[in-house]
Amino acid sequence: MRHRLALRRAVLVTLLVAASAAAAWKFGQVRLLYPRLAYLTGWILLGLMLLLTLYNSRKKLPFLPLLSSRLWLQAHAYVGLFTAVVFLLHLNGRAPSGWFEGVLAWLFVSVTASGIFGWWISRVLPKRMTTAGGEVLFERIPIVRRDLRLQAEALALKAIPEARATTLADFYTREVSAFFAEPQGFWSSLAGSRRRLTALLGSLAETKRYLTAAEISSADRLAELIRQKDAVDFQRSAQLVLKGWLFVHIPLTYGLLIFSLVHVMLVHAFAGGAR
Amino acid sequence: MSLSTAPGLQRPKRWDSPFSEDITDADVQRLLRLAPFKDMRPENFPRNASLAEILRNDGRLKLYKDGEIIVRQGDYGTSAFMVLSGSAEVVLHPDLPPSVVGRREPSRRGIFRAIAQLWSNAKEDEMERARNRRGAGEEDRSVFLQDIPVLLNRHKTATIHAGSFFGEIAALSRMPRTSTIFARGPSTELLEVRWQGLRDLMRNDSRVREYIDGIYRERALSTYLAEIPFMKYLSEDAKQQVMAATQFETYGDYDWSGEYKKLAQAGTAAIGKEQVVATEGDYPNSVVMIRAGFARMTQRVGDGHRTLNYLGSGRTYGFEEIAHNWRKPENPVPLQYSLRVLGYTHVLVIPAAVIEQVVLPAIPAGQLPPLIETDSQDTSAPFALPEMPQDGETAPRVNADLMEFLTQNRFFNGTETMVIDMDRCTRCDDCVRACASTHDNNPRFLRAGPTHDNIMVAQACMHCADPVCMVGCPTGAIHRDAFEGEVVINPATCIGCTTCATNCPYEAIRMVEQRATDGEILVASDFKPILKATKCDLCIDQYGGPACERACPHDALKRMNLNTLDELVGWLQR
Amino acid sequence: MSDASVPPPDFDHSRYERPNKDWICGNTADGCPCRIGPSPRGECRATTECKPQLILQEGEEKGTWKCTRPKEWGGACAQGPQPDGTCCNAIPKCRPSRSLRNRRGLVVRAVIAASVGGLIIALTGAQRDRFINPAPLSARHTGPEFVRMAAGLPGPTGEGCVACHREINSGVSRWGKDAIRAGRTSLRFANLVSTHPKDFSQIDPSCLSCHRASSFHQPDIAREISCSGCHLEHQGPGPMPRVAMERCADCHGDAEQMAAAAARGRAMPAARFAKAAMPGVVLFPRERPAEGFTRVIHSFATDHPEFRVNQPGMRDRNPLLFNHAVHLAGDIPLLNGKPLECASCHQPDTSGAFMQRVTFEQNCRACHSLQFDERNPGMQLPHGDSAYVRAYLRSLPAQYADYAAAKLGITGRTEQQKFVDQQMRSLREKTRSGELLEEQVFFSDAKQGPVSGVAGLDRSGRAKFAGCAYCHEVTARGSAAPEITPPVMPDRWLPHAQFNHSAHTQVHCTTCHAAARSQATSDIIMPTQQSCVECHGPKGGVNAGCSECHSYHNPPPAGWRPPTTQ
Repeated sequence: MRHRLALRRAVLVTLLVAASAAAAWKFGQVRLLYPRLAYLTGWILLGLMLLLTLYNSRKKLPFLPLLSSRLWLQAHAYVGLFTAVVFLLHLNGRAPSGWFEGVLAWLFVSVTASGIFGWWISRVLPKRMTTAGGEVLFERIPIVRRDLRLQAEALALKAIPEARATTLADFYTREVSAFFAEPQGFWSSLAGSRRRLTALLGSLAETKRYLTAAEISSADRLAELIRQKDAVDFQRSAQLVLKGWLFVHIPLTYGLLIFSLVHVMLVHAFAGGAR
Repeated sequence: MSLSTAPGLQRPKRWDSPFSEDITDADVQRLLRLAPFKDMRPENFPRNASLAEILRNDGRLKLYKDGEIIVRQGDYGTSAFMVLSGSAEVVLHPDLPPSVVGRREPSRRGIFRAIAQLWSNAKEDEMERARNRRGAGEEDRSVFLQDIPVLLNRHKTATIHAGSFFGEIAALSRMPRTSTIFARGPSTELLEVRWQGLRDLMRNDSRVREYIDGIYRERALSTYLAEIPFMKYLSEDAKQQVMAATQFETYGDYDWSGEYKKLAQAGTAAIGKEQVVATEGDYPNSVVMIRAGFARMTQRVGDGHRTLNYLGSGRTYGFEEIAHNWRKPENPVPLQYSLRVLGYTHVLVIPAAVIEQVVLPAIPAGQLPPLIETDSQDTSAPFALPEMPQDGETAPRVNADLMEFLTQNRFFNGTETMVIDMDRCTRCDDCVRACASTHDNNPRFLRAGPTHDNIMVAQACMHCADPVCMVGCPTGAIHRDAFEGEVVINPATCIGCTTCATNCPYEAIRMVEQRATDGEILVASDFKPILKATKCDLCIDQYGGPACERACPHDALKRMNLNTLDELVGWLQR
Repeated sequence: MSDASVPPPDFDHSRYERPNKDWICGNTADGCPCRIGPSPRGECRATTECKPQLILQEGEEKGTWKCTRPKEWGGACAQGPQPDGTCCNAIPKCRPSRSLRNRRGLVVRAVIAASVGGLIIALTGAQRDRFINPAPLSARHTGPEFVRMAAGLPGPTGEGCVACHREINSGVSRWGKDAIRAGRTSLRFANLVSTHPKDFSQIDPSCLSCHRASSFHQPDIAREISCSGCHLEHQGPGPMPRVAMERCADCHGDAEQMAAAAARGRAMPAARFAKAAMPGVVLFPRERPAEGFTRVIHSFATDHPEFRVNQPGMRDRNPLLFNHAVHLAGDIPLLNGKPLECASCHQPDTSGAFMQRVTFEQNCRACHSLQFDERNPGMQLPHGDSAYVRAYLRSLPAQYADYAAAKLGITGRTEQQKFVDQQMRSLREKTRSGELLEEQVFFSDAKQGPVSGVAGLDRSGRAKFAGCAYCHEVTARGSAAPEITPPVMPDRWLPHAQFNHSAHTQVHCTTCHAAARSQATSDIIMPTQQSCVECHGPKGGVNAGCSECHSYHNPPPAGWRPPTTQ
C-alpha cells in the first residue's frame, strides 16, 4: 500500500548512507594533509546547523512559496542525521574534555537525540491514537472532560428518582467521580495501560447486579462515558508527548547555536597559528 | 467593557453595496419602459424588493465597443446579460485560444504584503478590516479581440440581438462560462444583472421564468452533450438528431443540503430515501448523463445496496448496456446497476432508440464499450462481492467501506477537500496555524471531522463542484472567483444572515463575531453582534496555494478533488 | 485496543479552534471559556455578559436599557440591565493561562537567557580559564613551576593560560576582534584546505620566550614555521604528542619549497651550515651536499634516499686491519670456551643506544697478546705509542731484571743477572741483533718471510704476537720510531639520525649489519635504507615517522633572530 513512501525512504536512507560514507572517506583522505581541517568541518557543521534551524523560520512564513513543509521536514531529518556524522568527523576521535566544549557537545547530542526521539514518536504515536479513537482537539480536552463529567453526574443523579435507589449514585461517588475529575496517570495511559479502565468497568458490571432495569441503561451509558474519558486521557497523554519533545528540541537548539557561536569566536581568537 | 455600544452601527443589508453606483433613476425608468420589464406587474414583487430596486441594485449598464469581450469561456460569473442595443457574438466552435481572450492571472498580494503578514496580522480574533482583500465588483480590464473578420471566418459564431438574454447558464448553475461572447458593432449597451436579481425576477414573474428556462435549456443542451465522449464521432446532422431527442430532467430537491443534513442528524442518510433514476435489472431504455449534481451507482447485495461509484457532472450511465444489447440482440442484458440521485440533480436523458440508430453505428468498432459478462447476473449468491465495473474510468479502487463513507457524507462534491491521514498526522496544528497566519490570524477550518479508519475529512471548505452554500446568499457575498472558481466570501457584502453556513452540509462555514481593534465584539443597532460567514478561501490571494497543505510536515494533509477517485487512490497508495 | 475504537467525543464544532493564540481563558480548564477571551497580552477582559444599550424614544428623557446578550449565549436575560445601565450578570474574572506553544516560547527564551547569562558569568568570572580550556595541557606546560614562570608576567595568571595566550586577560571584546582578524588572515577559508598553513600567530612569541634556542631548523629553510605548525597542545595530560610525519612532508614533499631551499642554500657560505661538534664523539666523515638536504621526500618508505654512508664509493678509511668474516666464522680458538660473536667485542654503552668504542685492551688483547718472548708470558710489549715500544726493546736487559724481581720473585742480584743473561742469549739465538728484533716487532705482519714469527707460533701456527703491522699501518721514519697510523673508529656512522640499539634487540646484529661477509676494513656494513624499510614501512608496520630518526631542531647559528608575528 505504502510503496511510494517506502521507496522514498529507501532512497533517502541510501542517499544519507552514501553521503556519510563519502564524507567519512574524503575526511580520512585529507585528515592528515590539512592541519586546519577541523575549522573546515566546523564551518560545515555550523552551516548545517543553521540550515536545520531555518526550518523553524520556514514554519513562521507559511504565506511564502518556500517549498512545502513536508520537504523541509524530510530534509531536516536526513540532513540532521548527516550533521551528526559531520559532528563525529569534527570531533575527529577526541572526546571533548573541557567544560565549555563538554557543554557544547552535550547540547549537540541532546538536540540530535531529542530530534530522533521526536521523529520516532511522530511515526509511532499517531497510529496508536487513530486506533484508540476518541479523537479530540488538544485545546478542547478540558472542555470535553468537563462535558463528560457533567454527563456522568447527570446520569448518576437521574438514576435516583427513576429507580428510587441510590445504588448507582453511590457507586458513582465512590468509584467513578474521581476518575472523571481529572486526567488519569500520564504515563500509564501513554503506555496504553487498561488497568484502571478494566477495574472501573469490572466493578460497574459487578454493581449492575443490584440495579433496577432503569438504572441498568444508565449504567451502560456510564460505561460508555468511562471508555470515552479513558480514550480522551490517552489522547491527552499522546498529544502532550507529541508536543512535549519540542520543549527539549527547540530550546536546546538555541542554546546550542549560542554556544556554537562562542565556540567559533574562542577557537579563532586562541588559534595557534597553523592550527 | 465587554461589548461595543456603538448604537449607530448599522447591520449590513442586502443592498448595502449595489452592483453599480453609476446607475441612475433615469436609467431605471428607461429600463422599466423596455421589454420585458414594461410587461412585468410591479404588484407581483414584494415591497422590500421591488422591480425598480432590483434593477437599481442588482443591475448595471455598460457600453461595449466593437470586439470587446463581454464574457470569457472558462471564467466563473454570477451575472446574466441583456442586450439593450447593438449586438453580441457568441463563439460556438472551435473555442478561442486563451491568449486571444486574455484570461487574466489570478491576483495575488505583492511579495511585500505577503511578508508583511508577519507583523500586520491582527492581534485580535476576527478583527473588522476596513479594506477588503478583493471587492466583488472588481473591474476587469477590457480586452478587445483583434481582426474580427478573420476570426469570424475561422470560428463559427452566433449573433445575439437586442432584447435577448445571455450568460444565464453560468449565473444560474454556478458553472463556468460556456463560451466567449464579444460585442459587435460600434456601441453595444448591455444590462448586467446579478444572479440574485435574476432569481428574484424569475421568482416574481412567470414569463421571465419561462423565457429564461427556455433559452437556458436550448443553449445549454449542445454544450452539455458535447461533453459526452461518444458525441465526437458524430456528424453535425447526427448531433442535431441526438439533440432533438434529448430530454432535460431534474431529480431531487433544490435544497438537497438541508434534506441531507436532516437525514444525517437522524442517523440515517439512508439509501432508500434517495430518488431512483434507473433501477438495476430494468430494461435499458436510455442513456443518462449527469449534468449537475451527483448520483450514486449502486448494486444490490443481499438485502441492501452497495455503492460502487458515484457519478459527477459529465458522466454517463446505461451506455454500456445499450451498446451490448445492440451488438448482441440475442442475449440482451438488463441494467447492471441502479442510479440514485444525491440531492438536486440535473440529468440529460438520451433515448435508447437514438443511441441505437444514430450513435452506435457511427462509433468505430474498436471504441465500443466491452461486452458485459452475462453470467455475473446470477443473483442467487447475494453475498458474493460483485465485480467492480471494468470501465476503467469509473472503476473504484478503494474499499467498499471507504466508498460508503465518502458517499454517505457526500464528500465527492468537493474539488479541494481537505483529507488528513490520521496515521501520519501528529496533531501538531501547523496547518491551522498556517491558515491563521494567512488569514489575519484567524483559522478558517476546524481540524476535526468525519473519520473513516485513518482518513479524516476535515471541516474545511471543499470548494464543491456544486456549492449549495451559494444558493441562498442574498447579496452574492459568497461567490466563485472568476478565474479558478474557488468559492469565496466577500466580507464587505456578507450580511451575516447564516444562510450559507446552514446550507453547507459539511459544517465548513462558520459564523464569527466581528471585533473592533481593541477586541470588543461589535454590536449592531439591533443589539445583536455583527456576524460574518467565514471559511477556507484556498489562500486565493497567497503565493503557493493552500498554506495548510504546504505547512503539513508529515505529508498527512492533502487538498484533493474527490469528484473522481483518481486523486484519492493515488494518495492512498503513495 | 482489542475492541472497536472509541468514537470522538462531542464538542462544539461551531467555533474555530485557535491554536495560534498565546493566551487561553483561565476558565477553559473548567470547560467554560468566556466569549471575549483574554487580551493579546494575557489580561482577563471578562466584565459582564453584555453591554446594555440605551434606547431613547422620542420625547423620553431617561430612556430604557436593553440587554444585548446574543441568542447563542442565552439571549436577553430575564432580569434585564440594572437601572444604571450595567449588566446584571457579571462574569467571574479568570487568570488567563499561557498556551502550550507560548510556554514553549518561554522555555526557549529562558534557555537563551540562561545560555547567554551563563556564558557571561563563565567568561568573565574567576573560573574562566578552567571553563574555556578545551583539554588539559601537556605535563611540560602545566604545573606550579610553569605557572610560577608565567607569574613573571603582568596581571593575574589564573590557570597559567596567560603564559601562552597573552591576550586572554583582555576580555571578550578583544577576543572577538582577534577572532575576526584570524578569520581574515591565517584562518581564512583558502587556508583551511591548505597543506601548508604555517603562518605565525600570537602564540609563537610566547613559545619563543622560553624555547628560542631550539627553534632553528636549517639556514636555507624556504619558509619559517610557526611552532604550532608541528606541535599540538591541549591534547591531554602527559607528553605532547609526536609530530606527525605529514608535517615534515608538508615541506619536504613539496618540490617548490625544496627547490627554493636549495637555491637559498647554494647562495649561502658553507660555514653557515657548520654543525656544532659533539665533544668526544667520532663521526663518520662526510660532506654536506651543495644543495643541502632538499630532495623531495614524502615518506621513509617511498622516496627517502639511500643513506649517504651507503652511497657507492663510500669506504671506511680506518687504517686498522680487521676481518669481520674471519672473526665470526673463521677457524679461530674459542674465547672462554665459546666461539666469537658480535657481542664479544661490541658492547652497548650505558644508555644502550649505541655501542661502546672497541679498544685493544678490552676487546683485542685476550687473543692478540703482545708477548714477544715465547718463554716469558709475562713480558708484554707496551701498546699505544711506537716510541715507547722502541724504548722498551732498547732496554730489554733492564726489563728482564724488573720482570724477574716483580713477577718471578728472583731477588738476588746474581740470580737476577744470571736470568737476564740467559734470556738475552736465548733472544739473540733467534734474532741476530737488536735492530732485527725491532724490525720484526714493528713490521712483521705474520705473512712475509723474514719478519714473520717474532715469538714463534702457537700450536695452530698463529703468532702469539705477530707484529704491529699485523693489525696496524706501520711506516718507517728513518732513525725515529716507525709511525703507526692511529686507527679511526667512528662512533656515529649516520650522524643525522638517532638510533637506539636497545630498541632493536629482537633483531640480530647481522640482520642489519652484513658483518659475516665483510673481509676488509674498508667495507661499510651499516644497514641500508631498504633494510630499515623492511620493518619501518607499510609492510613491517613499525612506525616510520620522520621523527623516529630525525630531529627538526638545531641550535641556531650566531646572529639568528626569531621571526616576528604577522
